[in-house]
Amino acid sequence: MTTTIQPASTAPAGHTVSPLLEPRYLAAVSKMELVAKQVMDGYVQGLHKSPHIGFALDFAQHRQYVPGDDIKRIDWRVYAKADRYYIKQYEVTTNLKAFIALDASGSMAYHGSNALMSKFRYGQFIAACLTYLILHQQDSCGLITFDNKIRDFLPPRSASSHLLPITRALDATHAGEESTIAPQLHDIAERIGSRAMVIIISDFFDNAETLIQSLHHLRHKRHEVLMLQIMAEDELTFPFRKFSEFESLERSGHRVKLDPAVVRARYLESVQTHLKRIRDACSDLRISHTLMRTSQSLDDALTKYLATRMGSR
Amino acid sequence: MPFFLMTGIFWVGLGAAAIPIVIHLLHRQRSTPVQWGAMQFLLDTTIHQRRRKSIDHWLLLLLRMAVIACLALLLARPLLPVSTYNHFASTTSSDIAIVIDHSLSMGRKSGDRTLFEHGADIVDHVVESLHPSDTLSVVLAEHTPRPFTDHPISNAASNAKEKLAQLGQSLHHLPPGMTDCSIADAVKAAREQVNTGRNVHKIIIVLTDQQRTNWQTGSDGAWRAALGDRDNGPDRDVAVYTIAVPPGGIVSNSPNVAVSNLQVTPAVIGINRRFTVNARVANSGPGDLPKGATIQLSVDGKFISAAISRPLPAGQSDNVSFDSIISEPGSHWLKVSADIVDGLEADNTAYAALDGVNRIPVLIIDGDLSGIAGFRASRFLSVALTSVDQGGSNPLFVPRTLLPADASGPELERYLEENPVVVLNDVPRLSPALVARLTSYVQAGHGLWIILGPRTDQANLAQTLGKTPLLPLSIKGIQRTTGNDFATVDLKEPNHATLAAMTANEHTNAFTGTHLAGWWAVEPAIGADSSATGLHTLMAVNHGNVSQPLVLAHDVGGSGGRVITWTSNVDALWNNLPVVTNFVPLVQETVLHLSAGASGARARRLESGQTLVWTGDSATPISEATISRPDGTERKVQPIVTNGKNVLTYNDTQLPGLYAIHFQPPSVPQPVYFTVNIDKAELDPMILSDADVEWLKTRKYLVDRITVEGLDKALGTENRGVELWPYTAVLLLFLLVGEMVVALLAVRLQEGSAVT
Repeated sequence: MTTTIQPASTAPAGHTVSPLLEPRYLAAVSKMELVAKQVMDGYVQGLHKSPHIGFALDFAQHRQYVPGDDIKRIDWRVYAKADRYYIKQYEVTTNLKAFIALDASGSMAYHGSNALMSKFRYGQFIAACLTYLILHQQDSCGLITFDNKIRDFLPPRSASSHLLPITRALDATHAGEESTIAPQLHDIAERIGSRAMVIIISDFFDNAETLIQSLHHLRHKRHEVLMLQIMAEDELTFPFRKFSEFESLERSGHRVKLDPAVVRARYLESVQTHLKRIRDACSDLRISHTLMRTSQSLDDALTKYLATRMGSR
Repeated sequence: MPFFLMTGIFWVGLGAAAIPIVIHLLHRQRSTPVQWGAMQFLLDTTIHQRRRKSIDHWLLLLLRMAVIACLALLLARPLLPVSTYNHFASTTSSDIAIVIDHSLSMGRKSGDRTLFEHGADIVDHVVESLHPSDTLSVVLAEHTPRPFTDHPISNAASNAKEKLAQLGQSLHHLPPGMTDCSIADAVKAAREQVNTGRNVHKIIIVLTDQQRTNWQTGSDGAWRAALGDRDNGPDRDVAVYTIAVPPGGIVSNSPNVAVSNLQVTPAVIGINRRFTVNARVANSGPGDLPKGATIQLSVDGKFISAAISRPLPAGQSDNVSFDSIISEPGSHWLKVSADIVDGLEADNTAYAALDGVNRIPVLIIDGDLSGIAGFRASRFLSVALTSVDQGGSNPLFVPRTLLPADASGPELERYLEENPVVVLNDVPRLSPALVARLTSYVQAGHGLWIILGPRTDQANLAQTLGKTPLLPLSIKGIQRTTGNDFATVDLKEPNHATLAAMTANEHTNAFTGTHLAGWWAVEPAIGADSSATGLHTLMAVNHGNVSQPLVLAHDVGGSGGRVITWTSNVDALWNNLPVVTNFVPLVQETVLHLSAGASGARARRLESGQTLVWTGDSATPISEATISRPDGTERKVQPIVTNGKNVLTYNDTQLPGLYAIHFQPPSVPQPVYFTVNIDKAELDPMILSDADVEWLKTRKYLVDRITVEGLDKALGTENRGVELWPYTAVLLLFLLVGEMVVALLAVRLQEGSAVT
């Protein structure tokens, strides 16, 4: 089945299409679903489990089976007739309220020597694709951008026209300020309200303990948290050999000269420790954590991520 | 001079120690800017690494600077001067080479010891003066310098005492030298020895009797070859001193007898025929020899007889004669020696090699073609030659008479090969071919006796022999006396080899009673200068107031060829020579004299250093020859075949004495003896003058002529300090090892793995 992406149809006349809506990326995710793994407080039917049990709703529709769907939902009668697999959709499911939180701090502006794009750009594309996907599956999606404070807060809407303001907001956002993730996550946790899926797109370059505390806060608020940690290959391998002057992308004038060969081992150890701490914390908090490298093709990364997620549902 | 021996290279090297800093600074300036996001991890790391990095990097930097500074210090070879509180050491080190004159003249005695022994005493003094790290080498100055030590003996070695003691003993027991020497060549050999040592100071001390001939003063070439460029060469700092031996001059009241100028007559000695040996015995002083000297003759190593010279005051000489015979043909040798202990023993003996011959074939070409007289003239000659009046049982000479035509035939080469002497007895006509052949025959070292007589064709003679070196005479015509008027004979050179045997007792009366009625008048040919040809009259014909040559002699070529010319015949037609008492000895001595040139006996008496050449018949191949030398050593030599002859040459004849050649196979006549007498230059009393010393000093070939008392100063016994370079080298080694270790540790710290 071929899916035609017509982002232009969602845009009001006179508006240009955001470059973030890269067709091949959208094509990659269009076949996917982003399904909550915990119950959502949706107000309409959706893909996601409702906390409300025993609510008798009518059969809504059939949808063609795609790999990853729960086989319990396969309508065997239709199969017997059509010799094809279809699943039943009931109206008992509710929709998803998702927030995409994109870190716009200065560290996200790092490009890397082997990267396709900067981390922030990478994150922007991910945000846009996920927004598209969520809206496509008729869930509601909102956008939060932050650096040292929350810059944009777009409440979630399920209308497909909501894609435009989100992408516009994404386009208008630039990475550059100093990063303090933890306080912003605390703020987000308070502002979101009812259960929601919070997709945090960041490099998470912050103090691990304060960061984990902020994650605790989000989980305490019963939000499902998805952490998409974006890092450049250089940040993971530290391939520098020449004597270099490293200038901070977040704090202007903050430089340090050093011989990379001398500090490499220690640096890698610090990064490793930080990542492990976060992973362990996410595991404890049942937060989905995925490390994405900007050297990896975006469509591959997203497809892989969503497929993994769909397979583990 | 302060603490270090400061040299320019030290300052340059010290400046080079700043190179690591410069590299570091340049390196620092070239940092690559990186816009970085993960500063928090970098800052964590730099906090932890800052101190360590500083320590490692600064430590490496300091180590590297120290290495370079150390290297500069090492190359500067600093010295630590002695002070009261310096416990390291107290003296500097030198590489010392002693050149000790081992020429013949060093065998002279001063007191009861030879000059060489006095020199060996000075060597002992030097050994006692050596400092802990000094090295010592000894070179003997001989014709070819001889290193007496294989390697410099280091006084720091564990067995130094034993080696130095052995050195001293060996020197004191060394036999006297017998050759000349070259001081310049010996200094060159000494320089090579000291250059193998590791000390900075190089000193050469020459111990010599200062004999001038050995020093080659005036020869820049020899001394530059010995020491190199004294201004810019690498060995310009090698210091050369000389000490006169013995210190204080020669102390001697002894006479010094020298035996020399051996002459053996005749040159070719027939077996069982008497020969005479004459020797000159001289006393060069300073003492007198009031009772003369006992001189002994030995032949082939056997004592024959002794004679006593007349009293010899200092500066006087005498001639001593001996008579002896040889009973075996072949090569022999004789020795004449003075039985005396005097100032120099090396010149007390003289040697001579001689040949004893069993037969001397003589070819007589007689011009008597009549067949009636039957070689009448030659018969007189043959009878005279075959006379055995010397008491021998067999005649020495074997004459053979032929007609000119027979002598010129196909057998001519064989005749000439077999006969060392040819007599042309009154031959009327000679073919040009025969004359040409005879010319080359004489030039090859053989003898020719030309007897002119009634049959001689003047015109032919002028056109044949007269145009060759064989007869540089102009024949004027026949002179005759009339009636009872006869010409007499006058001896012009009574001591000539052909006449000496007869005139020894009778002197000028040897030919009294000889009458001549006819002879050919001759005079030197036009353009033939007698001084150039060597033509001289031995006997003359006196008639009235006119004296004309009767017997003439001259040498032809450079190989010992001789010609005797008689202007009157021997068949009693023109004279009564055949019946004169001394006719027989005259004929025999004439043939002996003519045959001596080809015998090679004179060639067996060599001067010092003259090449020994032996030739022999190549009919018997000689695989090997062994030469026994005067010092008892032997050398193997391989003869080569040249022009149908075995030829053997040997150059190392510096040692005076007897050289004996033995051949393989034993069938070759042997042994063959050669004798060498001492180099007379070694008896030259001239010593180095002040001008000679000044010449050497001006050109920096010599620092000074010093005494034994000045030796200590020359050897640098004044306290100059101890060299620190060995310690610096050890420190440098540790620094290098340390730098390697630190660098290795730093590299290991830098390794790490990527985060996955």
